Amino acid sequence: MEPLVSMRGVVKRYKRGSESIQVLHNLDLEVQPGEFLALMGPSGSGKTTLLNLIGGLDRPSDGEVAVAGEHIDDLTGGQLAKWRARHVGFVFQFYNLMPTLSAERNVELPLLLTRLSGAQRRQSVAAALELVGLTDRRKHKPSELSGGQQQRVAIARAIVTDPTLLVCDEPTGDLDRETAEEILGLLQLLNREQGKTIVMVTHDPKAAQFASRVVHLDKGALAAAPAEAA
Amino acid sequence: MHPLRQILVATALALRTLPQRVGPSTVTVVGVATVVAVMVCILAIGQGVRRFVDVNDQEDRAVLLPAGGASEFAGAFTPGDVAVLQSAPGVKRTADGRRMIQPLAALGVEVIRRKDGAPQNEMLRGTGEIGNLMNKSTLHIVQGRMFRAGMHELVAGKTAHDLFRGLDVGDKIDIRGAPWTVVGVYADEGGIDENSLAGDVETIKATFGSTTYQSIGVQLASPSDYRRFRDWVMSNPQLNAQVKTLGQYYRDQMKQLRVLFDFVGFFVGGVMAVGAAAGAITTLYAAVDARLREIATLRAIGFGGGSVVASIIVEALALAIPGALIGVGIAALGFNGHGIDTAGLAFQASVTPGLGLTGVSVALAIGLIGGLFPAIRAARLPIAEALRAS
Amino acid sequence: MKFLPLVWAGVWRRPGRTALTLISIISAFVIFGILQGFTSGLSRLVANAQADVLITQSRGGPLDRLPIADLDILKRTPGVRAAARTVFFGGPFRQPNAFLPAQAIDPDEARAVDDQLHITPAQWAALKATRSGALVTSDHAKLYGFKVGDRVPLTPQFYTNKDGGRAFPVDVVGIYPSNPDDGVFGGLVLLNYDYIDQSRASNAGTVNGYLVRIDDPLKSGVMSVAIDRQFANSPHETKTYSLRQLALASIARLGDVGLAVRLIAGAVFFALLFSVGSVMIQSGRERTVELAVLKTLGFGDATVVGITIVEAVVICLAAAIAGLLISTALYPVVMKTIHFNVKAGPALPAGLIVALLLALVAGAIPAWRAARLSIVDGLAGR
Repeated sequence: MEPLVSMRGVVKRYKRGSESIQVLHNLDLEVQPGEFLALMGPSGSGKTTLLNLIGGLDRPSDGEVAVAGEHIDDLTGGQLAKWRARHVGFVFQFYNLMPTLSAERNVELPLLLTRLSGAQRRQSVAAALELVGLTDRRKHKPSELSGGQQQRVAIARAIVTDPTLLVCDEPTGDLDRETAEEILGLLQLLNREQGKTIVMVTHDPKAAQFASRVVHLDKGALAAAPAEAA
Repeated sequence: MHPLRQILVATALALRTLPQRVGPSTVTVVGVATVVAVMVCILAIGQGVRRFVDVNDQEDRAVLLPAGGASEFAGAFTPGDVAVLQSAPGVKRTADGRRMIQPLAALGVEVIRRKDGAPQNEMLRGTGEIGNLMNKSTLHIVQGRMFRAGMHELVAGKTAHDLFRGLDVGDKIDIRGAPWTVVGVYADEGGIDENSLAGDVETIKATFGSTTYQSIGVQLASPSDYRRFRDWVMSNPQLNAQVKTLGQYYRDQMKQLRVLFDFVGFFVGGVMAVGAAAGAITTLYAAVDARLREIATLRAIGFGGGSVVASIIVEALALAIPGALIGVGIAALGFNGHGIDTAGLAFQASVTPGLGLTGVSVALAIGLIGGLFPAIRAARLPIAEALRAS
Repeated sequence: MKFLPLVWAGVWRRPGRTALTLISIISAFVIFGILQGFTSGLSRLVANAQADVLITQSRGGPLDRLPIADLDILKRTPGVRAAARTVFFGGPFRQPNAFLPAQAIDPDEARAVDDQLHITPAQWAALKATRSGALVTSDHAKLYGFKVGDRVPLTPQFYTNKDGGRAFPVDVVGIYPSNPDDGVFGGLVLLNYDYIDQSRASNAGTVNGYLVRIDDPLKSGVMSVAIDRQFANSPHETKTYSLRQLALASIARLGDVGLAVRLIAGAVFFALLFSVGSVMIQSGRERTVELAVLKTLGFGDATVVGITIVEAVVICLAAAIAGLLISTALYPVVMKTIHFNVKAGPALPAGLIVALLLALVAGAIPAWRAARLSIVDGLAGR
């Protein structure tokens, strides 16, 4: 089967002031459709950088990144934005919801970029909220929701456009044990029952257990085994 | 720690981090400076009017005006009226024993502005030897000579000479078909007559085709004689006149102008101050936000809420006061003495220390209001929450 | 349109700060509205001045007088349609500070020169029929309680009565609606020349000026010169202006009002631009993460810039409109306080343009920053 995500010889360098720091070293990675991949590694290993490249938030300094057959490293900024809107859903550690919008309106945001009518948008939003189990909290603002509920809203927002790929950066990093498990369970549900391909960055081995495959990153390269605990 | 010392330490800390907030702080300073500058400049025009009046304020000069009408050009006093006036008490005499009573009449003359060639009407004031004596201390011929009685001669005030064409010594002006010669230029120390022309009243009256005088100027022996003189005139049925001191007359004439500029100054200044205060509040809220952790730490250590409030208000004033000084400075340097030419009057704007004080007070008010709300917020902040803020 | 909830949420993100910004902008536009109303009102005065009416006065100014004999010469001048004599008869009334403007005229002449007077033929006839008659405006009637049939003692500034007193009693024979756009006779008490000429103690047989109606409004300049030429080198030389010129000259006499107004407005907006711009930059900085998230979701650079600018425009326009409305309400109060009666001209169009410019300039830096924001840095809060 064709891999959904294909990365070859990927290098990423950052300029900080006058210095150039290399964060990723000649990386090769493949993600199959329907996989739930966990990226693990100590802080500074480059896992968020890798995630950003997969999600089209950034471009590699060298190498190729292809998602669903498309070379996203070749796209311009504007094209990349359009691509993201259609193909990727993001879930962040700190939820990153708009504090001034209700749950509903937050989930609706990606749909504003489509040509759907107001009624169609409302339908999609309702379905997404239903899926994450937050229909009765849809009018609440983030400040009125618990951490777990906010993350559910974030997940609903991530799936509302039915994207090709779900990208999660430490989704349970700010949640207590119990809530974290609920969220991970939800992700697992989306993976198993809806067939969503998920790439998740985490430093928590327990969270990684919910994934179908775990990959370790150390100092910008894939490692065979888990690195020393950070 | 002693409360005063607390305040000093808290304030020093606040001011030390001020350079980090250069942007918003500059905005507050600029805002305050602008309000103060505009307000002081406008009020300076009103002050200029007041100074103008004060310069011309003489309590021992009186003027007879037509009863019921206020203008000095509206009277119709006959030579007989002037003769009656010779019996009035309290009138000063010249060295050679003549009473200092000067009948006056004025004529409008068309002159051309130098600046844009536009025609304007200026006053050719008819006076006489006695009138010139009355003005001796302030009125000086700076070019040429004074006009002679009975001749078609006139002298131009310095301001008029500067503003209009054709008023150099030797120039001729056509008035009612006859040429009048400019024989001199006079200065009146910024007085009210410097932007007009002067000539012999009898000649002017004849040119006018008039048999009456418009008003009568009187020099009193002393200011305390005014009462006596006034009562005598007003109770005299033949004269049908009202009497004012010269100062009072000018004050009344200028009242409208003065009210105008005072009102505009305070109105514009007030509204702008509201805007500046809003801006100051915003800036200081941002300042408090930037220092949340620091403020919470201070309070955790044990600094009282009062010292925190004081430190923020001091910061606000530290922005408002330079703003005020800059604003007053701009007004004083750029506008003090600036010539104002309006409604036929020419005078100078006057930025007085009093106005400077007004400007600073407004700035302080803005600073206080600007600092108050953020200060209260800082003092009431739950310490633990603020310590967590990044 | 669908982005409106997002824009609105952005505007009210920090309600206190938005309220303060609105207050700043509103106060600036209150000042702007009044200043603009005044200057555009002055322009309108000039524009409304009747183009086909000239005013002929003595070269010595409006207080100087012309002989009544000049009227015939004027009437016979080619190009002149009608000429009307006017004697300034205004003066204090009841209170020393109150001024009642009045002109002594000939009814037929006045009617021929000014067709914007809302006086009925019956009222004109009444004025002609009653020698001591007077027509007053509805404003005066309301202010002083005049009714038809009242005997009103006028006390003109420049005349005393032959009988030794100061009063010239007139009988109100009609009340007419004043027309503020009429620059000729618009809002005056009108009385008969014959009556005052026979009663006044001085300057009989003279007038303050003539109002001359010409056939061709385009020829006002030529006609003015032609009229003056007839009286050149006489003892009563004239200076003829079109009403429009006169309006302009009176404004010019106000001095550098235009300049002063522009300076004040400029200073106000300079300060405002600074403060609003600073607030927007500050607010922009705080929302770095939010903007980065929007870009993550696929919002393009242009869209994000658009949202930023629209937020600025919404705030500025709303506050500007509120400020201009307040200024409209305050304007008459201000005019009354400074004793200047200039009807307000339109301030809204200019105000809206200024508001738009303010939004664009103040929002320029945050918009630019939003466009240049890199997602990776933005998400990290940089």
